Amino acid sequence: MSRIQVPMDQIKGLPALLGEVDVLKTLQLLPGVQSGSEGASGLYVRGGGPDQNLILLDGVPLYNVSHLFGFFSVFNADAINKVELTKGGFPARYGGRLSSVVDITMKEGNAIKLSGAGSVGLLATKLTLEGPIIKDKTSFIVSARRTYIDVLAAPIIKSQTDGNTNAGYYFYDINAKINHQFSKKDRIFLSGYLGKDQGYFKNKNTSIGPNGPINYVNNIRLGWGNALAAVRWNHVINKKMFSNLSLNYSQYRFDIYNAFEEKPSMSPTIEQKSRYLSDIQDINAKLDVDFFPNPNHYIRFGVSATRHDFRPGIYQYTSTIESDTTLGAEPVHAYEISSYIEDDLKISEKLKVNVGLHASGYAVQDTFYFSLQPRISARYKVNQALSAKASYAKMQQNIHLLTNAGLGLPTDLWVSSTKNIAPQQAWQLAAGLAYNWKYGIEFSLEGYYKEMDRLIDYKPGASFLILDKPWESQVAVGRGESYGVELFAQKKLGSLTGWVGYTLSWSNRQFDELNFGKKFPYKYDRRHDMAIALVKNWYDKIDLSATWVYGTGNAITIPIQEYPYFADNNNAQLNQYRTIDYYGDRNSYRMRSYHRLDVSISFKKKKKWGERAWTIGVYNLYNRKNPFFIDSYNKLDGTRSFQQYSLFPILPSISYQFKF
Amino acid sequence: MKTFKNIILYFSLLLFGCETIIDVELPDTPNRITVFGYLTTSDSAKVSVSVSKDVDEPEIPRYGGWPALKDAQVEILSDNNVSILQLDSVFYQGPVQLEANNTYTIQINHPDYESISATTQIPPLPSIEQVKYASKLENLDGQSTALKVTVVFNNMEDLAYYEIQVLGKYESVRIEYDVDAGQHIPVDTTMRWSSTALYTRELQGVSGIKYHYNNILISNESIDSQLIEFPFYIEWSNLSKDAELKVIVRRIDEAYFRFRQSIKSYHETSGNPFAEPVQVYSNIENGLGVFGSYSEFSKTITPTINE
Repeated sequence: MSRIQVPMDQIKGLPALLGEVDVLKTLQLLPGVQSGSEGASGLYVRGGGPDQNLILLDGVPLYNVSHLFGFFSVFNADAINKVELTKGGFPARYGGRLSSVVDITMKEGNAIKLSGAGSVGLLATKLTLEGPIIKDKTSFIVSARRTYIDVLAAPIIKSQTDGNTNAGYYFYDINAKINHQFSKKDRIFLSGYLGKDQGYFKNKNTSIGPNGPINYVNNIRLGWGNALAAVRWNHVINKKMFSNLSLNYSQYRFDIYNAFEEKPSMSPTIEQKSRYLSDIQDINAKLDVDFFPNPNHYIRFGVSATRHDFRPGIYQYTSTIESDTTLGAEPVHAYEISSYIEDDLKISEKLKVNVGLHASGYAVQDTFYFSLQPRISARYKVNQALSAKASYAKMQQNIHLLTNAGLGLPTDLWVSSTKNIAPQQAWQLAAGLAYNWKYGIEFSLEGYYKEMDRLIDYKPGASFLILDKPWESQVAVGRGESYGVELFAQKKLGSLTGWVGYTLSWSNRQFDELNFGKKFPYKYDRRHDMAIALVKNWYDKIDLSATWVYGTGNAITIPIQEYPYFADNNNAQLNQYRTIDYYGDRNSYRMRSYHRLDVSISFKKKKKWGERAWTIGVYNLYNRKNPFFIDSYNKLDGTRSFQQYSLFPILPSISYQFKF
Repeated sequence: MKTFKNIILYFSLLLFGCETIIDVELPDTPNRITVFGYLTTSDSAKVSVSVSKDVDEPEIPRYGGWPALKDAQVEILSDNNVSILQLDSVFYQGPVQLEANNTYTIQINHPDYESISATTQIPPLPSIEQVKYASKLENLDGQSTALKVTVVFNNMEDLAYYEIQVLGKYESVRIEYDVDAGQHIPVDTTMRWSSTALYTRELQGVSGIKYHYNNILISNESIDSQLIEFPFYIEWSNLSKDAELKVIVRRIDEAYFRFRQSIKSYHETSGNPFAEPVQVYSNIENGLGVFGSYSEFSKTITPTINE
């Protein structure tokens, strides 16, 4: 129920921005899943926010899954074995987020022979190697990717600035996994991920002062990234039971550093350094047990304990001429424990039920939040082809994301629930029909209703850069609702594969402190959302693929009128006014609708050493000027006008892939 | 912080290198009657009435002022009495008996615009026991020199809204251009009342100090205990040692409070691309602006500052 698995071959076969295959962007093409802004890789599932997705890489949650300000996700498709998305009817084993579970499993490494894959594209180069360390016992996979815009641009920047400036941006990620089989009953998996985005700017210049030359050096760095490590021991207890014991570590950090140096020739050097830092760190231990008592039951149960350390938005300033300053929220330490039990119950040949209970406790600042989250989903087979499904799930999320622009900027702050801000909660009811037609085509129709409570949003005028106020005083707490219908037709077999998805949905928010307490559409409330994704293969030599997406424009708040403001009655001069913008209701303006066609063609050839492919792609084939944001400007005649900024015009790309 | 804002903007702009821009049409919205009126027992009923304009209409020249709406029928209703206000050059004014605790409703009709209405109840005078002040200046956060002043209320009603403002006597130098000298020169010096900047110490604030510009808005709806004493700080940098100060405490109605609160946020965040837009509060049905009221207490003090 509400679960979709997209084959990796299909993901790799679809056109991609600048030829860089992206798992999360493929998920955006599924019904009930929306992208935020142009190019962004965040997921908005059934009216939920981008923070409400539990994104697991080998069972370990990742926080910021964006590279390049959200234009690419951190997942290197070459290292991934399986991607599964759950939008509703969550099994009890999952917890901690409200809207979806994206369960990504890395490849385990080829246990028989050394093999590899790689690609060279306009944006990045990547290489994956996998193979046995001890044949049939120990295998590894390691995959790395790096962009090279900075390397290509460096000589140009240097030549244009007489060598005084060095600036650039790059990102990289490395995935690695080793699995070792100790015995037929015991296996151990070690996996790790390290990814970082880094922008930098260094400038030197000299001026002549009264006592001689003064040298200035300005050094700015902007970086963010995730680090993740996991150890999992898989143990077969007996023929009917096996367990997985895991120890996990996950960290996300965002860091801006600015250093300024002034070196006069006759007096001491003046140094000023400032840093803005935000990070979140988790250490988790969990035990999962799978038990098959008989063919009618598949029971899973487990426990998990996590320590969270949050440092949201710390500002440090040190200087040789002024007093040092540290501003920002105090670090928060929280402990989360959870347990679950679920049973895949076969009641009859026609009726299957998954019933479970997830219990969660969250201890923070001398406050303990406890929740019991019942989950149930059922499938009734009407006949061989048609089945009916229904589910109910209650979810709780103990962490929040403070975001201003919703663009997946690294400035988004992950914050813990506190004694004043309670965890988010949601419940969702979904029901639908699934039909297996001939030619391997499956249809599904699902309706859902979801209510969310204790959501947070910045109060009007609040911003992550206002550090002299605690973040808790800058947020409003409210609720949300979303409902809709999703239609999905998928063909997984044959030379032509792909899907068509359509969603009709509504998503609203209500906060007492926003929009004067009135209900308003969520920024990503999208009445119509449609995606068509097709891959046609000819004799394993040529792959032709296309995707077309359409979405109702985002709901935003822009000024529609202006009026004068007079501070008091004593102001007898009407020309002493200030102008106020009148916005109407929050998110009452709709941007233009979004649509885009991407195509790509791959030419594959078998070689003695393996296989190679050239892929030529075109993003936004008909050059649609899709809205990214709207800004106002003052014209020379004194009138104000609004302009829509679009990000990506038609963008061709070429890449070379190989595997051996 | 500005540096960081610029750093983020700089790196964000790198991404917009391939942006394309197109003009956007805004939906037609009917212009609305805009009212600003703050009733108080010590003054006559006086309101400004104008009309909003679409943001893409030509800007109104500042030297001419935003024109008052002419030929509007402006009425104030109270206890079955109807008073009609007339437009002088700037405000609609009229003989309305303004009393504390009375409710007043404004109705404005005009053939070209949708009629508007709003209601306010003039609050009673704030009950102030005393205004205390320190004899030494304090250094706030190593930045500002300030004088601590405490307003002591006699009692605090269940729900009340207040505005505190302090006027200081500042030296004002008039400057004129001397043609012979070819430069501006001081002509005379006068003393004039002007608002001082105010601060409070916030229990939860990270730096502990909150800057309020020239007025502090307080309400006991956001304070757990009954507020009896309210301490705050007056920026002293430009005041002389024996400066005369006028401490004004206004008890204001909820509409006035919410409007002032939102207009503060509006101005504070103006120009910050990362801040959510601030919708300015209005209690005018079918219109814009605010129709509020207040009662004012003021006390002039001359603190003796010990070094």
